[in-house]
Amino acid sequence: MLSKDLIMRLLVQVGVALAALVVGVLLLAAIGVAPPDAFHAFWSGTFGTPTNAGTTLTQAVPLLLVALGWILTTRAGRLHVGFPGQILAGGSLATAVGLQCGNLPGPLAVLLTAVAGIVGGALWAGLTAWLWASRGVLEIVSSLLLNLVAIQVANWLVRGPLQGSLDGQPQSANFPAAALWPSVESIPGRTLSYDVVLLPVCAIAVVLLLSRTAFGFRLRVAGGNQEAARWSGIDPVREGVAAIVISGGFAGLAGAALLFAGSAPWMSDGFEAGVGFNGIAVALLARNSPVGAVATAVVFSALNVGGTAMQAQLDVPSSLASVLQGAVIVLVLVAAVVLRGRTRAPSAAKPAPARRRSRVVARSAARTEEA
Amino acid sequence: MGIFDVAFLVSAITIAAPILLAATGELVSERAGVLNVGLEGVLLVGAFGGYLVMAGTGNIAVGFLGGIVGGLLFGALMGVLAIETKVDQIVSGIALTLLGYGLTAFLNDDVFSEPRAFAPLPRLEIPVLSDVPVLGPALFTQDAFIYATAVVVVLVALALTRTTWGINLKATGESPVSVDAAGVSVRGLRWAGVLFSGACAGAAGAYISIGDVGVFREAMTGGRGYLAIAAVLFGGWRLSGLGLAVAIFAVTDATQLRLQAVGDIPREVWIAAALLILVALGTRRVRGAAAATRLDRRRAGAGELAGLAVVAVLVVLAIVRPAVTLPVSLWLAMPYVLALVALAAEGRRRHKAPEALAVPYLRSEV
Amino acid sequence: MKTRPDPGPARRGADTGASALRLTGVTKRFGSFVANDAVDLDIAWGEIHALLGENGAGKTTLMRIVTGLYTPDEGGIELDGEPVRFRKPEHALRAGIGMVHQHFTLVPTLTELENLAIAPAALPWRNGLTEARRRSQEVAAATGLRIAPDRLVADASVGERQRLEIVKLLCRGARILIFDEPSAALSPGEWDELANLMRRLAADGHAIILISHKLSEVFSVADRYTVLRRGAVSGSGTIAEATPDHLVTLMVGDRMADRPPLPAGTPGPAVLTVRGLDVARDDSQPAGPKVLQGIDLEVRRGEILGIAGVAGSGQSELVEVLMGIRRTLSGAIELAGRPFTHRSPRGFFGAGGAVIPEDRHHAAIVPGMALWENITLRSLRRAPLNRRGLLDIRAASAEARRLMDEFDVRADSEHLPIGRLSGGNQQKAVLARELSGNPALLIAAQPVRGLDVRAADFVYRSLVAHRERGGAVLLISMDLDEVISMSDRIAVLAHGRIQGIVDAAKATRASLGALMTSSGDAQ
Repeated sequence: MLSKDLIMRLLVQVGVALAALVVGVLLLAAIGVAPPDAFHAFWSGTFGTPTNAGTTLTQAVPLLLVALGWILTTRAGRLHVGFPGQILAGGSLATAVGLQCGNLPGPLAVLLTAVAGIVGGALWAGLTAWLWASRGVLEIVSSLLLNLVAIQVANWLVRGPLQGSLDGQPQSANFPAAALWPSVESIPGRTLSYDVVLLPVCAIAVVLLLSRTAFGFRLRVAGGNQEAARWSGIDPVREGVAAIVISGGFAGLAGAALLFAGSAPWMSDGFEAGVGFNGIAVALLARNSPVGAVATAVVFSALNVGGTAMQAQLDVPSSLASVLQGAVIVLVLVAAVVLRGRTRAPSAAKPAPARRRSRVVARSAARTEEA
Repeated sequence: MGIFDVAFLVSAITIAAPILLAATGELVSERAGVLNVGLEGVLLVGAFGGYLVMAGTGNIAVGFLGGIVGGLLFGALMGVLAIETKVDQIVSGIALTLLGYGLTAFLNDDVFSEPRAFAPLPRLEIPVLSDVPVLGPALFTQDAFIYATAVVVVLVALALTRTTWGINLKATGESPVSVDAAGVSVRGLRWAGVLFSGACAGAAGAYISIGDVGVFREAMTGGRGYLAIAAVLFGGWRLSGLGLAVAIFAVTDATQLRLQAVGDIPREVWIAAALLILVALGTRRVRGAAAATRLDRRRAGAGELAGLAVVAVLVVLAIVRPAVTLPVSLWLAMPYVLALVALAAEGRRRHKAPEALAVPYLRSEV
Repeated sequence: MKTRPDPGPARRGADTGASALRLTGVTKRFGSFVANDAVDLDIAWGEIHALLGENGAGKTTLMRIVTGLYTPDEGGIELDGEPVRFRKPEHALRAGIGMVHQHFTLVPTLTELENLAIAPAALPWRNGLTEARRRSQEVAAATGLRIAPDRLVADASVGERQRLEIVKLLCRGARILIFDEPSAALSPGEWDELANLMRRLAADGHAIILISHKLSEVFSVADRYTVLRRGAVSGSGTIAEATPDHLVTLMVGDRMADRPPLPAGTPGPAVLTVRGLDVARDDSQPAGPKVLQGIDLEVRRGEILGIAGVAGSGQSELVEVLMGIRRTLSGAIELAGRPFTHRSPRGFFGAGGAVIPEDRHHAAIVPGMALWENITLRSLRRAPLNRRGLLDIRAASAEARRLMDEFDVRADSEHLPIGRLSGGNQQKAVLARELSGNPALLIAAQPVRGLDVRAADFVYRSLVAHRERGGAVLLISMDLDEVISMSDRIAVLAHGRIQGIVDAAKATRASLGALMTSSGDAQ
């Protein structure tokens, strides 16, 4: 029974991947690039050489971290999309800290930048959480607006307080070597950062957090049925706030990883590079499974890295990757419906859609009872 | 009046119009129960659609049609996801955002290796009225899109209150069961709402690209879609509130544009800000007098005190006139910050969201 | 609206007595479950026809078929002697069949007039309000039913909303009116008014179907009856020739005999004491109207205290207050001998409370989570299953399996999502969870609502067993028979006040009913 479910899900996932592939081929054909050439450029650009494979894996880390943040918040029944802002906030704070770490021993400096990233992201997410919990502002709207604010703040930081003094470039000074996250030296170009261990570690940590801890359990109850949570002594608002803040921490860590394990040892205003939204797509493609997200993060990273390679070699616009990522979400949504239609048939139990609105409008459930 | 001159008004109205149109469409869609968070993506598709068709035909009216068609296509996609397959509307909205951004950037790269610029919409003077001082140049010497937006908003206001269709639509967002029981198609009304919203956002997008500046750039809508959604929320799902919200955003945006040029913050900005806060406090007082528990009242009192303190500071600043300059980026963030502050200040709604907003309708639940 | 204007039932007065609606052999299956089994039903113009049956007997399914929400698998419907087939609710509506739902299909944020104007519109831009106003005036002239056109429905009382619902149907030209449990939320006075209206409409030539399981109402207004049991017709006839005992037998079969008589108990000291409790209807408006006033209650060890009353008398609010979800204005609550002051659900459970919420899907279960997680929803968060934040999920699922055996929860595996289980099994799982901690006080709010007979019996027996063990039970029910047979003492709640507390052994339907109505004039 369960294994049949699993097979269905895998089949659907493969189907989605194939459909996305078809979309990609069609788009390539539309702009007159021969698919075989494109695939060759794509493969050599992603996994063809150790150097490129290192880049692909390293760039998967921030995507996965964001995806894990998304998974946590959705499990708690909240939906926010503030990851770009939280990445920028976390990255900025990590930069500010990292620039001061030149004289510290390496491991401590690395740890400090990571913690700074987490704190920055969590604080920025805290704004969203506070606005939702105590002011009743939809978390999705406030997080969207906070993204736009964060973009401008980051723009200002690299042109003001954090600007490197050498030239007029809108970027920070180079990070001290001690603060850079270490990478595997045997790979040419040292593109594989050791932070790839975060891929399995964080995914498993989130799985365990959700399934084996009281906190994760409360989170899932609050997300599964707010009212039932309240009736069994769990405050869904508190759990929602915790989930949002933790997801901000993940995004902030992603921001630090983008900078300190990235290719350029400085902060520029565009370092977020769409990771915030793509991380959501990563989670959706993995159907919100933390372990599955590891694989989809690598796939998405390959799409980005390969897209850049194709642009360099074949002049394919790199925004092809964005199109594919959007298409993937739509396909996943539709696939979910197909899957639901198949598995739901035997069960008479109805979903309770009326409860879903509590996700949309904070805390109004209690007031609707009067009728 | 210093920086608050006629040109300022004209620019505020130009900024407001596309947000107002997109927000009006979104309002209609949300009153029918469909929350389209992907409005930003729809705007972009409208902007690019308009640009593409304009480049092909050279006719700006046909270009706008292209924008509307693009918006309708994305609206239809939202309809398929939200109404037909009944998937999570917020996730669908995210998909629309990504897809809209990616698709337009991709096609723009591909189709236009060289960016092209067109002449924006001409301004039309309305005889007699355009001669009225101040208001004439601001309101009656605008382009066709702005007049059309005004007409659409008025029509929507009438439709929502005076027509069977409008009443059915509002009922659909509140209680689809009732609408279904009356023999009216919930699906049909929601589709109408979504498509109307798509068309509005498409036209607004086209205005942002070919109507206003005459070019298209990647991600050029710059968050106006989010502002429109925020305006619907802040406006309490009422057209009047929505209009107020859009006006506030537009004035802030116009102010920051002017201030970027001016440099130091002139006195009238401090005074205007102080007046704005005073008005906000006043309306809150009037509104809050009726209900409110003791706890709320104490909180409101604290809020008022804080507000008055800010006003005092602003007045001092107006007198002292310090040479403060803000970096351009922070000015650019101003409208979003203000939108957030407005949403937070409004707090718990006096008008609740439509009861069935973002809830798919399943008939068996009757 | 392009449909023909209502010819006016009165003008067809000559037809009175002729068949309005005839169902023959209507069968509806859901998978292997037969909801309606070859049902015959015959309604005449000008009569009030009572459709009786217990919850789950198939009344609702049958009426959904009549109103076009479901299509029957077998059998036919004749309207005015002509066969009809409704594929959509619109069809039934156009044919003149309208239903007053138990949960009104009104939009609270619109005015009464706007609610009347919700209709399919051939010309969408037409202003339907004028038309609606004209029609409502016609209805008012014909039936005396007046509405307040500009009042928001949210501001209207339950009785007023029901009236609007009826006006709405009449405006649309309904000739056959179906009332689904119309008295559930009405005060006795409002019910009398509705009964008069039903008689008047029937005299005008309308056909009226009254769905109810309250025999007193049926005997006061109905002309004929049809009783459903387990989806099939178990009897029909004229009310004049029927006796209440006969109808009860038709409805429940031999079920009454199944329920064990409550053995005499020996109540101990009080577990829950409530003194002078006042509660506002709206938590955010303490100065507003009160939903509970001066409540004094005492539930003792080894006792089941029943709360009787019509729906909406303040029962849900009472539960929420005791749980610590809702605020109080004044009054004191004592739980397990200690003042329950800093009230919260956690505090309630910590003090030895447990609750079976009224609305299972809404408040009791997390449908998407596994059965074992739902059963250990609270114990999992305490030691020994929770050690410093880490959960012993193996022990927890073993515990859940044990409780599933003990409480007869039937499922293939404890890992199934609870949402896939039947309502009865879900409720037993909730029961298992709530009783597993051997609580001092169990609040059971309508614990058998929507359950089949077997599951209901199991719930009853579990409550009695808990009482035998010395537990206290606060049983809230809208069903007088249930309260009388299940309780040691009964508190009658009406209009937010306790109207009296009586010994269940001496209570009768009539005496409780009298207590409920005595208050009608108090407000």
